[in-house]
Amino acid sequence: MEKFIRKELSTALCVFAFCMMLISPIYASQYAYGAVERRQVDIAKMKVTLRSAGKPITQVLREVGERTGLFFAYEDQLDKKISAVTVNVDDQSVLVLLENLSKDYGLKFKQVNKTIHVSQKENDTQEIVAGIKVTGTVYDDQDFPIPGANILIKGTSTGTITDLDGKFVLEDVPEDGVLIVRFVGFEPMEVPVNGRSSIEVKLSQNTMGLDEVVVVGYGMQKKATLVGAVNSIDTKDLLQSPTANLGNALGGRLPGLIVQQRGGAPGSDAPTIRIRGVGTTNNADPLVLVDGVERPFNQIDPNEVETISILKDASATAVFGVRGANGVILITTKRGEIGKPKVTATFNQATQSPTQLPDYLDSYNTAMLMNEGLRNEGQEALFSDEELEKFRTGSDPYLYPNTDWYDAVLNSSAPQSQANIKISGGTKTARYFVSGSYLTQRGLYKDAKTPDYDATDRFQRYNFRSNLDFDVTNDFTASVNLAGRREIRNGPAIGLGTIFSGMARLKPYESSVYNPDGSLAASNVGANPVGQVTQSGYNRQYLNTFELTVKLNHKLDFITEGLSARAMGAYDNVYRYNERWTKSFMEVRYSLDEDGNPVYIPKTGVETPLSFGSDWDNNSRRFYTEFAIDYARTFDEDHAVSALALFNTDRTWRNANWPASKLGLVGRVTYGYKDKYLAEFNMGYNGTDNFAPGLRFGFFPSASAGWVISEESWIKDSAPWVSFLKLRGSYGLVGNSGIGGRRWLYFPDKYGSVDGYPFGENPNNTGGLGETELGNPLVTWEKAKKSNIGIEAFFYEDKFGIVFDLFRESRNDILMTRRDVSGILGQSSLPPVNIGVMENNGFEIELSHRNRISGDFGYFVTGNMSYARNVRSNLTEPTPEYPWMSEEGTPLGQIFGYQNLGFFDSQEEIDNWADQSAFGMVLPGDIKYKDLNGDGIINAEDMGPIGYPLFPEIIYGATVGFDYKGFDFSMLFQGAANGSSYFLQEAGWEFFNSAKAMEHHLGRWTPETKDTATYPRISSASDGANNNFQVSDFWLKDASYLRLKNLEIGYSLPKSFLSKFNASNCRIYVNGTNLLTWDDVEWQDPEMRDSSGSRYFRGWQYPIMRVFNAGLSVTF
Amino acid sequence: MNIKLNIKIYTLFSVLILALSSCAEYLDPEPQQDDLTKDIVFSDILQAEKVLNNVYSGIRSGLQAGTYSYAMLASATDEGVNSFSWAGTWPVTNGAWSPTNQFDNIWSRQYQFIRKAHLFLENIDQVPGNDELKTRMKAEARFLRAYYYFTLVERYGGVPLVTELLSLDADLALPRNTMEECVNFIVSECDAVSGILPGTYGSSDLGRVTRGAAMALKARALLYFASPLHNPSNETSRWEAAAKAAKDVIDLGTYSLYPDYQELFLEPFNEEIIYARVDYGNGFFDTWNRPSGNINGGWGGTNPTVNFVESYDMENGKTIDDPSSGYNPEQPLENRDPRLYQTVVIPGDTWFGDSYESWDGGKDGRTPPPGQGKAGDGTRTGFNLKKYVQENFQNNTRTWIVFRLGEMYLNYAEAMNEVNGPVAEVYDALDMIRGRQTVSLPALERNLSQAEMRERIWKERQVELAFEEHRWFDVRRWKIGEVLGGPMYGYKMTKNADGSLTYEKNVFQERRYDAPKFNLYPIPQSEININENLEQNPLW
Repeated sequence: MEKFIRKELSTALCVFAFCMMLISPIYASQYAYGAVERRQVDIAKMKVTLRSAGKPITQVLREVGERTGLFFAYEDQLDKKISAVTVNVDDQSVLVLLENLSKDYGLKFKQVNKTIHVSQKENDTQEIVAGIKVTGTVYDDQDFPIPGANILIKGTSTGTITDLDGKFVLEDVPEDGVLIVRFVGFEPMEVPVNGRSSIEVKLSQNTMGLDEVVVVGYGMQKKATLVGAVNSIDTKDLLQSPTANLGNALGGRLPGLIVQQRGGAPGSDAPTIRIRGVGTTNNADPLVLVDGVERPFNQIDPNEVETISILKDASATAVFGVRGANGVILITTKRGEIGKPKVTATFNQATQSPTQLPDYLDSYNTAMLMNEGLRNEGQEALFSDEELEKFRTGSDPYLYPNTDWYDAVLNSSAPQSQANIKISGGTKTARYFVSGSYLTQRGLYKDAKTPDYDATDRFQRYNFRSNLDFDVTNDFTASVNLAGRREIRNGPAIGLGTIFSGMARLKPYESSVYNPDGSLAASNVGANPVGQVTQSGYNRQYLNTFELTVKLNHKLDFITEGLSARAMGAYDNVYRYNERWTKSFMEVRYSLDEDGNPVYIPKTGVETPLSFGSDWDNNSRRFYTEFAIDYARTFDEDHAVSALALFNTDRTWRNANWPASKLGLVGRVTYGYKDKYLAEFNMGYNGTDNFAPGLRFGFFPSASAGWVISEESWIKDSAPWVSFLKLRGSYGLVGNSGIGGRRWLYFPDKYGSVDGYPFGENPNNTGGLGETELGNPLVTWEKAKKSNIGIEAFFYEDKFGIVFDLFRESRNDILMTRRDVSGILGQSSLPPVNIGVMENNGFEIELSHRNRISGDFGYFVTGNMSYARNVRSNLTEPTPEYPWMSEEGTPLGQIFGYQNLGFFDSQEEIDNWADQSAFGMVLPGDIKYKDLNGDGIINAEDMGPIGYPLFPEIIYGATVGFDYKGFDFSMLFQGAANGSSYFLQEAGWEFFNSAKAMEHHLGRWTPETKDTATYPRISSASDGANNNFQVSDFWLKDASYLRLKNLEIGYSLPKSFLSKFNASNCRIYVNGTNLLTWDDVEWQDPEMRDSSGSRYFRGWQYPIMRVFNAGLSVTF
Repeated sequence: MNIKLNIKIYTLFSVLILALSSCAEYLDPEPQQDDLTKDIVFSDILQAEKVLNNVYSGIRSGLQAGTYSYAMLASATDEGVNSFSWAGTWPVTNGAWSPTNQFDNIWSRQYQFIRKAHLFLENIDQVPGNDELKTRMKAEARFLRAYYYFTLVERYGGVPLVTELLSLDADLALPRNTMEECVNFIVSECDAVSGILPGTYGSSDLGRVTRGAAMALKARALLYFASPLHNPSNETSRWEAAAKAAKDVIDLGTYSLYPDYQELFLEPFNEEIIYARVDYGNGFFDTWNRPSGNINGGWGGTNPTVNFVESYDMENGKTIDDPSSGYNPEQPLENRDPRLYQTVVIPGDTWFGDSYESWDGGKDGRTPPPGQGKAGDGTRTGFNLKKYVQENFQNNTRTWIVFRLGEMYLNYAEAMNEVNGPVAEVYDALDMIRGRQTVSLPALERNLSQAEMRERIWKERQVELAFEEHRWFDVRRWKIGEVLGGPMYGYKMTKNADGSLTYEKNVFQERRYDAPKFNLYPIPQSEININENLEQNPLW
């Protein structure tokens, strides 16, 4: 059923997207490019050089704009009227150029500051005289006024631009006229006047925005001329996810980014992130930089984030050299903009509840299955019918309890609130962005407050950021970023793994939670989890983070035009302090004596006072510096050249260890001819102290090229509906020095502390010394050869877009230990050597459609999909007996196990099948395994690869949204395919290690249900079903899923109403995350894994949360 | 671009590259002052001693959880079963044992300790002075190397004999040496060092190997070599050598039988012990083996079988199948060899301050009432282990016995019986064991044939040396490994209204012992795959 729904939904989505493409009217509106500044400029003094022949007028004007910073406003139809303009000026003043154009093509220009309105002379006579006066304001999609926006009455050349507050006044507007509103980077919009004298216009960002700049390694680049594989997401999308952890807001948003959340414990729910799958058997974490410095990002407040970019191919990552092979995530925080102080306050209140909890059976069903298991194995039932009846009716809740431990320990939901206030603004010389926020996320455990202490599980976070920019002189700017974070995690002294394992193990009939006298009930199976939560003391962790960044930038135009130098220094400090107050507590066993009087026997533990313990770890300092020379200049109009040379140092002190140091040199040269033919060369030359002198520095070059086909005149002429078309490709070498494990592998063979031996009458261990780590003087980094081919295409004024990337990565020199060394050598810790090889190939596709039907209504549909598959080789694996036993050629994390062929239906079938008795008792109803080698015995030689690796190979996401008047709506679907979850022990088996039974065990095999059974015969104890618990694909679940990851509905209050309160914007919204999930796993949430991140799931994990949130955001 | 600009850019780049190279020491880790290398270690006798300590650490205590993944080796035999089916001995008893599904996989581990011994032996002479100490220490290391080889050959038969340090690039594709070559090496090493090693040590050095230990190792190695598994043509000379070696240990006069059988395993370094490893602070063993329903909580670990319990004679010294023994199958636990009660916890015992209730529905049984006992982990047989378990729960010192005088008497008796038949020395040796103060069985009637005596000795070893890791090797060298297979029995005990118990033998497990295949361990498949010259044992 779920599968059906999922399929239907995805089909529906595709059809919807396709229909939208077909039916949407095609608007041929045009808008101009260029920067906006509110300074009166003298166009007579402005010089321009331009040669072009036969180009449409708008393109000529755009080119003039690009060279001068002027902004030309014109009507849509201008190109049709004047489609072939020839200009040939050399260092000519703009005034003269415009005069010539006026003369030659009958145009009229009117300058307002930097904006020049263009109209045709003959229109003058047709100007409409009668009309009304219209005043209005233009806002952006976050309801901030847009100064400098262009307003034009449709069909005329009459227009104006908005002032600093986004306001405009237009005289003589026809009552049935239409206003065309434009601003760079936004979708142009037509607003019917309909007789109104006051009009509010809200422009939505042209998110395709090929004009927009993208943050890349050590710089920014124009998206249109980018040749690397880079994607980015901005704050608006991030804020739609009401997750406490920023990482979890990224899932499904960007092609090539794999985000898998493994658990939901407050403050510890960071997802595992991979870029383009997994390329190494070692540490595959991407490099994460926040404002240019390697920093943790999961706990950053999304309100502080401007953009997040992911860098995927060699072109984008080579500059990071030995750190870039796993891909790079760049986070840029917000900065102030010139304008009046803008104060935004946001408040969010959410409720979180688990997406899914394991379905444990009640006492009656558990006891019934226990009896059945015992009978299956020829033993007597444990419970009589009367006892079963008591469990069923609950008539004797203390002696025949029916305890739902999940219910006893956990609340069904927990609140989360977040408040943020941010202030930004500035003048020409100083700009500021200041943000402060507070988050409190309550965990699911029931309240654990005693008069002495508070063990309630709770995560609190305070974020503060102040980003300041100063223009010290015209040539010299300085920026100071100061960010602080305080995280407090509070909870019971006993860790969640222990508590959740107790909840997974205690059978409902073992004991009640409390005895009749109120004391904690004891059982022999394990500690009472309610006691562990409420009476074990508490654990409180404080984590303080301080990050300071200072940046200086000086233009060096006096040396040569386009040259500038910059310097940056950063100092980060993380301090973690953990205090643990522990106590033991008493559990009492309740029973009745022969006369039926209650007997209370203290079972385990005694009440003790709190005892104190603490530790400090994870404390670190980082000092980072960077010096760079930038160069950017366009020669002879058509040759855009830029270059970067950068030097950086990075040193981190962690706890009391010797600091880890890195040095690097970065180089970049780009060349663009007419924005059409692009070439780029990037390189990183860096070194780390992990390698031997002489082998420390590595050189990582990459070359890339792009061809903007849409700039070619033949495509402009033949297919004007192609608004943008670019082909790009890159090839290069990137490294990975994050090889994990110990540092300084090149050091000579070491002796160290190893096992000693106890001697003497009063023995103590005398200590031992022995070979510990053998050195490999030649150890080096992993090398990734990455190639990428991409195509970006946008049609009909960017309304439709498709971006496709094909990538191939070959990683070699992966550090690993040889597996083909005989044990006779006698050395267990062989030195790691650079021999492993991994291939990782795949593709990404991104489709988009966005459209604005009218000023009141716009919508978008986007979708992305990524596929990546890796293959390991050169594992030095000794040749196994059968080819299917080989790991060579399989992906990382491949599980090897038996193939299940269903259940044995009779003893006869068992007797006629291959011998499985090595696993112990085999009875009808047990799992039948495939005899791969056909030798009549099921053993390790029959274990082959089963299922998919740890990370799903396919990840996809789709967003749909619209806005109508003040309302906005968006939703994000996210899914994965080609992934597996493996269930074992408490999470899958019945009565494992005395643990309990689950809903899915009811589908067991019995002689009566053999045709419909979904689970093997029930066993009373783990060893009775040892045959069934072998590693096999029976326990492997298809972890494909589709989620309604996010949904948001917002409403912005009308400005007219808000102005009474001096507010410029007020939006109320509800949103949610992980709202719906379709999957075939059934037993658990499809993303859940054990905290170790292994592919196995044992079920001791904090559930992943579904969050419903309501929020209010007010701007003054 | 003009030349001037180029010069400027070049200058800038030069400055950057200069900055980088001048910063190269930025990457130099501080010389790791506490890093030890071989030369530093072997310049100081105290450090060198620690290297030897590490060579010693290859001697395992059978009481440690890690040794056989939570089981005792006895659970692989008919002595017992571990209540947890995931414990390390189950793959043997359910027949899943294979070159790829290993149990007791010590192949690489022992070669690691042999390498450690070589590192010590090849470098100890670098240490200045202390010649006397160095001589003794070298003898200790040579003993340990010989002992580690013995632990390999008792499992695998002949193994590649490496007698010097192998370098990483050495040819490691070594073939196996024969059993004879290996035993000869072990014996010659024992002979060489027994002249050097001291007979006893001061109290702070207890646990170091002695002359007696070297001689005992030699005696056991020769006994194994003379046994049917390795001596198919039954060369009597091998039995003679084994008998003499055992007699030599007895004749040393250094050791005497400890009077209290139960205390023998709890009193460290008592007079019977020839070599033992200290096992201290190991409360785990006691918790692990405590009955599952005990008031102090327990895991119920090792469960002795009825197969084993039936091997005990009656208090009067007669076997239970002797009609005149007075054995009552209705009350099988009455009036038995006192060692039974010192080895096994039986129903009605008070143990760890709680009564032991292993009958059906009793708290220590397999299926205790809800809320009582760890359902599923209770005893599978009706018994729990007493030997080696410290009831007083002090977590203090115990010694895991590697060699003791009792074994030497039994080794001597066995070898002598094979050489000369049941001569007086054989009876005397057995009577010594059976006459121990807390055992006090009557002397054996001297009327047995050689074959009967052989069975007698086998049974005596089974009882006396139970849970000491002898049975597993004994039955295999005697080539009677089949006894480890087939039905394993427990008692289904029913508590009657009058408080008495009714015993019913029931099969708790059908074991698979694949004789003769299982008589030698399979060499790990991973090693065979790596080394083409390594020949797998027969039938594996």
